[in-house]
Amino acid sequence: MNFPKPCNWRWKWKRSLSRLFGASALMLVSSVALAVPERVISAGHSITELVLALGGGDSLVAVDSSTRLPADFRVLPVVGYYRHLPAEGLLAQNPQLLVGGNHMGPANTLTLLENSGVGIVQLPEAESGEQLLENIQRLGEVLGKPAEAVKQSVEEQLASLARARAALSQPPRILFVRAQSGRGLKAAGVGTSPDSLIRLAGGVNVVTFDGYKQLSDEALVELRPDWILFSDDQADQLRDGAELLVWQPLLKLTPAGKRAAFFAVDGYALLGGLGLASLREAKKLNDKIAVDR
Amino acid sequence: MLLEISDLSIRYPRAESPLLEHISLSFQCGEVTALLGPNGCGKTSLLRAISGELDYAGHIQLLGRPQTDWYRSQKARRALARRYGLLAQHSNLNFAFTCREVVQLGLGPGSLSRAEQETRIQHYMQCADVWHLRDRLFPSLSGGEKQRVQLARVLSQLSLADPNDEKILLLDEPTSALDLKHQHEVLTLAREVADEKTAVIAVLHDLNLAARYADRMVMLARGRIQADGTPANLLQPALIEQVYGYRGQLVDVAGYSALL
Amino acid sequence: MEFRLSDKSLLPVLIALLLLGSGLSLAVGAMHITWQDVVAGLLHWSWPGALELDVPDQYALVLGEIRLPRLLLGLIVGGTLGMCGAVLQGMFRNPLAEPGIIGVSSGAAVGAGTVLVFGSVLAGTLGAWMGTLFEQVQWFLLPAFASAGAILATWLVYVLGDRGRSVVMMLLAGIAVSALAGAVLGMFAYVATDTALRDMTMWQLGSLAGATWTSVLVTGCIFIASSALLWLRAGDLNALLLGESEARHLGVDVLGLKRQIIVLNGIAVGAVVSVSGIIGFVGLVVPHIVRLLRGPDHRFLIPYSALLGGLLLTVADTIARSVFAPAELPVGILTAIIGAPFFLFLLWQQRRQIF
Repeated sequence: MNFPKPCNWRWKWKRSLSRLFGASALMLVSSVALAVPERVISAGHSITELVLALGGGDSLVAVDSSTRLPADFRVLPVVGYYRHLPAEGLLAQNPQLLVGGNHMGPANTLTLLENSGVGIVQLPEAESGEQLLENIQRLGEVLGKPAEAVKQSVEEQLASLARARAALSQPPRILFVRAQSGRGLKAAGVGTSPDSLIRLAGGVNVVTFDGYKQLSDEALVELRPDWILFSDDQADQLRDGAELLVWQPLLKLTPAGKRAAFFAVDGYALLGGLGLASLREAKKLNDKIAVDR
Repeated sequence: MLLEISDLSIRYPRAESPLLEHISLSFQCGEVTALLGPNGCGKTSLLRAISGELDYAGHIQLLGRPQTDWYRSQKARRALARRYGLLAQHSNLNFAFTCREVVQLGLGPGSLSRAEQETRIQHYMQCADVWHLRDRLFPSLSGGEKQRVQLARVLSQLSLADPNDEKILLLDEPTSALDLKHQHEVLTLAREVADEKTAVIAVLHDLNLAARYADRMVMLARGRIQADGTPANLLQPALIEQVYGYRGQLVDVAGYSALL
Repeated sequence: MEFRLSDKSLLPVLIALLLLGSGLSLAVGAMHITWQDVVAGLLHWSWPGALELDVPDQYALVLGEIRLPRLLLGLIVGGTLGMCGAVLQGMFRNPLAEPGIIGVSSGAAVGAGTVLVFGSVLAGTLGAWMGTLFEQVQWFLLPAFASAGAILATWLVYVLGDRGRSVVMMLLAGIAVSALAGAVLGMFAYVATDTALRDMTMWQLGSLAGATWTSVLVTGCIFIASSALLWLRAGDLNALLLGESEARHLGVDVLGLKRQIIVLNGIAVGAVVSVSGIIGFVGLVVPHIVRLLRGPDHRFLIPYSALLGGLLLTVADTIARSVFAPAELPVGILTAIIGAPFFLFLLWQQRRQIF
C-alpha cells in the first residue's frame, strides 16, 4: 500500500515557525569549539583590554563604543554601545567571534548572530581576581592564544596587592562619588566596579547599599570617608576634587574633606568589572593610602 | 403632541434656587414658538434638558416616547436624529472643513446617493443663503455666516426623516449674530420649515421679530412661565415689564404692533 | 477656495512613495548589499533551495531576519502612531493632542516598566494562578501592561483636561500625567536592577532595533484590528468635531465613542510602545500633513495618516541606522529633532484657530 508522506507540510510549517520566532536551531553552534578566529568583535573596554594583552589585536575588526583603544592602534569601526548592539552593524563586519561581558545585548541581536554562525562568548563581569583569571583563561582558549604570560602577570599584581593590603594597619574608609551638576552626589555601593576596586586596594567602601544611589547630605558626614574617589572624566569639572567642597560644603566636615584627600580613578577601569586597568588603578590607590598612613 | 414637558424642574448643583420650577409645556406640529425671557432665565437650559444634556426632574415626552427611551439604543439615537435637530448658539468647529463638508455632516454617511446628497446640500445651503460660501473654510467665516451654515446643516439633517414623520427643530438664538436682512430670512425659513410637519421652537431676544414670525410666544422669568399665548395677546407693556423689568411703548407701524 | 488633493492623485503617490521607501529601507544598511542581491536574498530566504540562486546565506539572514521585520515593524509602528494621533486629535478636537505629548506613551512606558522591573514577581504570581497556561501567554504580559498604562493615562488626561474643551487644560493635564509617569519610572529605576534600568532608559528613546517576527506579528494584528474598528467610527468622529452636543444631536453615542477610542487607542499605543519604546511626534506631524493635503475628514484622515506614518517612520529609521553605521541612532531622537520644532510651529499657529 502507498501512503502519502504525512510529514512534509509539517516540516515546512515548523521551519517557517521557527524562523518566525527567531530560530534557535543553530544555538548550539556557539558552544562548539572554534578554530582560531580571524575576525573578532570585542564589546566592553575591559574585555578589549584583555584581547589586546593576549595578543589578539590583529584579529579585531570592530569594537563597541565603551572601548578606548591605545592611541597607536589602527582605527576600527565602532558598532555602538555593548548593551544595544545593532545586529546588522555587527554582521556587516563579517565577524567569526563576538566577545563581551554578560551584559552584552540585546538578546535578539545575539540570537541573530548565533543563527548566522557567529561564535558568541560572554564572560562574567569580574568582581574578584579569581574571576579575572578565569576570564583570561577562557578568552585565551577562544582566541587560540596562550594565556599563561598574562595570567602570570595578573597573579603577580594580585599578590603584590594582597601584600600591600596586609601591610595596611587599618583599612581606610573610602567613598566613590559621581557628581551630578546641581543634583548632589551619587555613591557607588556594593556590586559596582568601584566597590571591587576599593576592596582590591585594601580600603573599605563606606556605603553598603546596592548599586549607584543618591546620597543624602547628612549621611555624607556620618559616613566619615578618609578618601573620596571620582572618575577622571570628571577631574577637570571637579578641579581635582576642590570643586566638590564647593558643591557640597558638608564634605569639609569629613576626614577626606579636611585633608583634601581626593583621588581620580581612570574611568575605563570602572566599566564592566575588574580588568587590567583596574589592577593598575588599585595599585595606584593603594600607594596613595599606604603613604597616607 | 410632538413634545410634551410636564412638571419639569432644573436645578444646578450648588445653586441657591432652582433655575426652572414645575414647568409644563407642550408643542405641536406646524407651529413656530418663540421662547422669550431675560438673560439667565433658563431658556437655553430648557432646550438642553429637552435634548437630554442636562439632569432634570419631571417628565419629557419626545415624539411620542419618553425622552430617555431615545437614548437606549444606537438605532433609536439615529432615528431621533432624523426627526430632531438643534441649532446651537455658538459653533466651535476649528478644523478646516469647507462649508459644504459641514453641511454634508448633517446628512451623515447614510444611505443617500452622491447626487442626491449634492442636491440636498445645494438646496439647504441656498435656503440659508450660504451657497456662495460653499468652498470657504468654515472656521474662517464670521459668526453670522457660521450660524447660517450650521442652520443649513441642521435642515439637511432633518431632511433625512420619512416624509410622513413629524419633526422638531430647536433654534437657540438663531438671529443673535445675523444682520437685519438675514434675521428676517432665517425666521421666514423657520416659518416654512414649520409648515413641513415640524414644531419649531426658537429662543429669541427681539420681541418684535418674535411677534412678527411666531405663532406662539412663551415667556419665562424667575423659574416659571409668565405668559403663554399668541403674539397679539402677549405684546402688552404691562406684561413685558413684569417679565423683563422694562416698560416699553407699543406703537402701530403699517399694521404691525412694535415695541419701542 | 481651499486646496485639497483628490484621492486619485494622493493615493497613488503615497503608495508609490511607500513602496520606494520600503525598497530603500531593504536596500540600505550597515552591510553593503546590491539591489540585485537584495531581491535574490529575499527570494532565497523565502524559499531556500527552491531557486538556484547564488547568494551568501549571510545576505538572506540579514534581509529576512533583520531588515524585513524591521521594515514591517516600522510600517506598523509608524502607522499606529499616525492613526492614533489623528484619532486622539479628533477626540480632543485639538491638533496638539498626540500620544507622546499628552502622556499616553509615558503611561504605556510605566506599564512596560512594571513588567520589566517586577517581571519575576508578576510571573511568579500569575504562574501560580494560571498554571501552565501562563507559559503560553507570557509574551503577552508586556503589551498588555503597556496598553493598560496607556488607557489609564488617556483617560486621566481626558478627564483632567476638561474633556478637550480647553487646549491649555489638555496640555497641562498631559504635562501632569507625564510628570507622574516620570516619577513612577524614577521610583522603578531606584529599585530596578542594572539591566532593567538600561532597558527602561532605552524605552525613553524609542527604536525599532528590537524588531523580531514575533513583535511584527503581535503589533501587526493589533494594528489591523484597532485601525479597522477606529475607521468604522470615522463618521462619528467627524460629527464629534462639530462639538459634543452637536454630535449627540446627529445621533452619535458620544460617551460610547469616546470610551471606545480611549480603549482602542490605548491598546494600539501600548502594543507599539512595548516593542519600540516612545517614538514621539509622528502622531503629531502626520495627521497635520494629511489634513493639509486631504482635509480633516476622518474617513480619509485615518487611513492616510496610517500610510504616511508608516512611510515617515520607515524613512526616518533608514536614516537613523545608516548615518552612523555600523552603529545606530535611536529613531526616537530623529523624530524628536524633526517633530519638536513642528510642535512649536503648531502652537504658534493656534492663534489662527483653524486646524
